[in-house]
Amino acid sequence: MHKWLNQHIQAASVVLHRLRQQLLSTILIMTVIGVTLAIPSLIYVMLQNANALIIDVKKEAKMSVFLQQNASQTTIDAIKTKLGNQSDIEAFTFVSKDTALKQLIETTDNPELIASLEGNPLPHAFFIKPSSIDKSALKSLKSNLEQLEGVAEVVIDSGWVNRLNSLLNIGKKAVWIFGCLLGFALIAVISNTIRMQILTHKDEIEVSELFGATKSFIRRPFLYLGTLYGIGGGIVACILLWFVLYMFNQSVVKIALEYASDFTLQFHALPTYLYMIAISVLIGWLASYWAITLRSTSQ
Amino acid sequence: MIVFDQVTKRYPSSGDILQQVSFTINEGDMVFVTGHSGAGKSTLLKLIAAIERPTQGTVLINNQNVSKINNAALPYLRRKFGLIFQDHKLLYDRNCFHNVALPLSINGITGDEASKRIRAALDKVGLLHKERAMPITLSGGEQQRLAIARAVVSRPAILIADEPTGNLDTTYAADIMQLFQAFNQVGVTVIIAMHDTANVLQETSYQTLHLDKGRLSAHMHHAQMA
Repeated sequence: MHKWLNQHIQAASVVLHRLRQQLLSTILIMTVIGVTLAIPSLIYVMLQNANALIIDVKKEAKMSVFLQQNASQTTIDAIKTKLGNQSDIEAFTFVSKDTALKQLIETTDNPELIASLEGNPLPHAFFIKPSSIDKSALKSLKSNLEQLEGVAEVVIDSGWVNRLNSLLNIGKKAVWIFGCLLGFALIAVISNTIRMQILTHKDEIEVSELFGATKSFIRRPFLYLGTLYGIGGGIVACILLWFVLYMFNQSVVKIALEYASDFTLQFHALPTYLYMIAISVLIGWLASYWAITLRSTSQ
Repeated sequence: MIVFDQVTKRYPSSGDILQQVSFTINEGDMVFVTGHSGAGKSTLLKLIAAIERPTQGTVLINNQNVSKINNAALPYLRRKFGLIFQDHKLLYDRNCFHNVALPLSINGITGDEASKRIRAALDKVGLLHKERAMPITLSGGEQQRLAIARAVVSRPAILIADEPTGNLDTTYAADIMQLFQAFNQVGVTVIIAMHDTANVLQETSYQTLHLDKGRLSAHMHHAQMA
């Protein structure tokens, strides 16, 4: 156990020494990793924030229940009590056809046109605020309401929210694909760098093998190298991400204020940064493992 | 103990380099492998050090059959040997101290224990004052002695040297031979390939294995001249 630990400390210190010796190329490769990782992460955090915004908007979603033209006062009262007993309805308001017409005349630019209408073409309506914004809950509520007597039509006003939502989902998929592609690119770049390092240390590897070094002894420094590149690159990515979002947020808050909203970008979540470093380390390790495996099979 | 039994080594490109070679080397022996260049001396050493495996026949090292040993166990077998190459194979990116440190770190020995053994090895070959020097600044003879220090630092039971005096003038060569004899006197098996044994000092008993075009043409024992 002591010997095992010792070997790891030894390999790590050898690699740290090498990284210090080639400081410029170390910084360059870490920057490459950092920038490459920061781009998809940036888009991801933006989408996450857009998602939060949409959930906010979704809560505003309403359901409109239009009654049949000939609905009597008793039907209206019956529906009123029904709606009052439904647990999946948070609140509702009733707008009678007369009120609706009055409102229409007040808001329209062309009151003469409406005055010229024969009778009132508008139906009685209920505007419902559902307690859940879950899609399937909304659907079942809608079909429940449609079956009530005197109801002509039920409309969910969240159509545009749904469309925005599917756009967001496309965006999320795109981030995943984009991220995976960049990840592969990173693996290629890092493993090429490590392959160069292996070539630089060709003599050392040859002599070590002659003196009885095991495969893992030879591999270990290069695996450490890949892992350290990953840690460094991950930290660079975190700094970039935080800085870019910080700059963005200042503009976002300004715009939000004009809309009288206290919306602000959420980008301080520690897990996002930890994930990013973890992914970076994984990529670094995989790349070095790949580089070493390619070396041993090419011999 | 090293036993060769009817060993043949064939390379696809150059045919049989060694043919039907049989001999036994006991612990503590001093053995010279002689022959013209191309006679198969280097190949014989590589077979002894388990760098190569025989095409036919058996090579036994301390009763381990080299042909049958698996790749994972091979490094541990190699650690029994201290190797010295004609071209030194020193690492020019580090100083003398760290060159000698390499076999120890392979064996998992680091820290004070390693430093002590590295300095002892450098002292033995007369390079202690050069521990911080880079190998490229050393003379040919010093580089060869550094290679010897690296070979002996992990205290191998068997020292194998391929033409260790090949590129050196006679005085340096005599120095190096004296070193090998000193190691042999403390019980290390020493196997040296060289084309002539003129430089060998006569105070020790030794054997010669003479190779001629891949065949063992003579196995002679030279007794100590008291």
